[in-house]
Amino acid sequence: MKLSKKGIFFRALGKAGGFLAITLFSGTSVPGPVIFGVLVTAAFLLAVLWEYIVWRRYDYYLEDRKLRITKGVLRRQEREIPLSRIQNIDLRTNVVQRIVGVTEVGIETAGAGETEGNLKYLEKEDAENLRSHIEGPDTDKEKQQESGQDIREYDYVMSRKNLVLHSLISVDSSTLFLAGTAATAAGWGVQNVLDGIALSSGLAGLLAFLLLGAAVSFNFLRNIEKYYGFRLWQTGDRLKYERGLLNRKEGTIPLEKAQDVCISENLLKRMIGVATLEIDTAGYAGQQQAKLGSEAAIPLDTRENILDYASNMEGFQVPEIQEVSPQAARRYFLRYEFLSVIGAPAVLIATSLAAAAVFLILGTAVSAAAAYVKYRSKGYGYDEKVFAARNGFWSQKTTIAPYFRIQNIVESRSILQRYLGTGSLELDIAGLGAFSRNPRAVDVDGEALRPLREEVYSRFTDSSSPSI
Amino acid sequence: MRSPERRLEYFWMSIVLLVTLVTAAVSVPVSAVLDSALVLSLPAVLFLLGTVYTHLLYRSWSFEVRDNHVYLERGVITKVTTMVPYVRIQNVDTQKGPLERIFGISRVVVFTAGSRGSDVSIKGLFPEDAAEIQEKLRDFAVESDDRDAV
Repeated sequence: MKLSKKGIFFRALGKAGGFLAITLFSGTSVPGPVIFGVLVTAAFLLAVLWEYIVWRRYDYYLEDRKLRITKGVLRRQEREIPLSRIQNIDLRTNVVQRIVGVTEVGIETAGAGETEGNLKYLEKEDAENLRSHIEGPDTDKEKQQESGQDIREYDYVMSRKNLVLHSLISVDSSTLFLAGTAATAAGWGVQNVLDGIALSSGLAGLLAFLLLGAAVSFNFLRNIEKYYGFRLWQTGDRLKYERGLLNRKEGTIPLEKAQDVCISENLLKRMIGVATLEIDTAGYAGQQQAKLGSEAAIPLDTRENILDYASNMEGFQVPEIQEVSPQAARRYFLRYEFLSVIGAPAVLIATSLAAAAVFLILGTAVSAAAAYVKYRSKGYGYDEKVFAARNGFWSQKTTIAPYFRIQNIVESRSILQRYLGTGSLELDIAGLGAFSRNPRAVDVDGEALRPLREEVYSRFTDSSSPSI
Repeated sequence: MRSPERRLEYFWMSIVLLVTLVTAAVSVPVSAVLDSALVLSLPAVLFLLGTVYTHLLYRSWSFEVRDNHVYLERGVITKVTTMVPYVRIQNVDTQKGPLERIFGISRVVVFTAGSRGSDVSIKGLFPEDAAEIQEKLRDFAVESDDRDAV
């Protein structure tokens, strides 16, 4: 089967745009408008010609148990993706593509770091066919088209209030990048304009304020654009979601591949009483974290609702979280206090005895408060099905993993922990190194640690019966 | 519970000795240039600390191939206990580095899909013991092949 012919236009546009950006930013002197126009047109026509050849040489085949793609103009490539290995299919369109009726399809397997199959672009019907070939027919959607009504039962529809709230309090990664670039550019521009004119502190403050305002607004709008119309539903053992205003995305989270569930609530969210639900699958999770920032199953809802969703989707209750040993507070106090004790002599040498004393007293007070807060933020809990651990004060995450996901069990006791009679228990689950989130119960009372480890292990043995 | 062979301590000691020698080789000219005898004590301190640490580390190591999991304890500053269920083992290697070969010891490395999986290695084994353990673990792993939970 072929890609959409209309796609040639979009691909050529992308290519020509890239070429244009390079010429503009490469520092060559800007040519006159006529020459510039000719250049752009020539680049676009060349790109169209090239993309047409690419289109001619690109074929995909829906076969019984695999998807086969043959492509390449100079270097031919044939790729086979077994259907059973496919984890995710994402459909993406922007507003123009939606009007024209083409869709970009991304196919992910657990293997490599990149998207294994990226089909740019398919006719809308072809994209739907491809998806139903891989996932089985979407009966809801068919019924929906017959009756003309939305009969799908959504598990979560983001309300307008939640959308606004989420857009306000979460930072989009592209905003940070853009804000940095804008600040640099603005600084450079101001330098040029005000060369020779002394910049008053008031004006500088105003500029900074405007820039901050622009960044916040951009972040807000970007989040609105991204999460507008977010809805999530379950078909079989898959969670599917749709989101986006101009750029619309339909994605899949395979529940049977879920390794753990993570409820994340930063300080701001805890104060308002809302939380985010994330689901990690092996292989895909780490990659998503790295590339796109965490893709939330539910971006934002009240804490109670989030707990409900978690138990509905995964079929378990979130266990009650119990506090860790109070000795944890001591451990963190000793750790933080170490800094102020080290720092005080330095202050003494640099300034005066009085300053050093103030530094030490303030440092001790801050250490004590921070240690207590950190101790209170930690916790763990378990029941017959799952183990949960909570960590972090600024960005608090409660990770919940079923026993049958355990890969190995790691108990560790540092010198300070042994002295204070505590220890940590970590349930190692499958994932990609630093990006995986293992449930880790820190500073469990020493007496309880060994029985806890044995209990977790025996629950694991019971749960990993062949029925799974 | 089984301890690693004594040769593991000697193997680690040889590394300490090598590092000490290298440090000494560097610190002699450095102390001549700086005209300070203090620098010369560095290799001595290193050797002393290294010896004590190596001894404690050797004593802290123990392992057991149990009914359905591998049990491993080690660590001087942080004591770490690991349990690796057989059903989770992806593959088992035996490895020996050039120095280990001189001391005639080998290690068994157990891989799981876990993010810290490659942490798990049983060190200080005679090659024939290592081969035996590898075979045993591989058999267990094959037996429970259909349940890797990824």
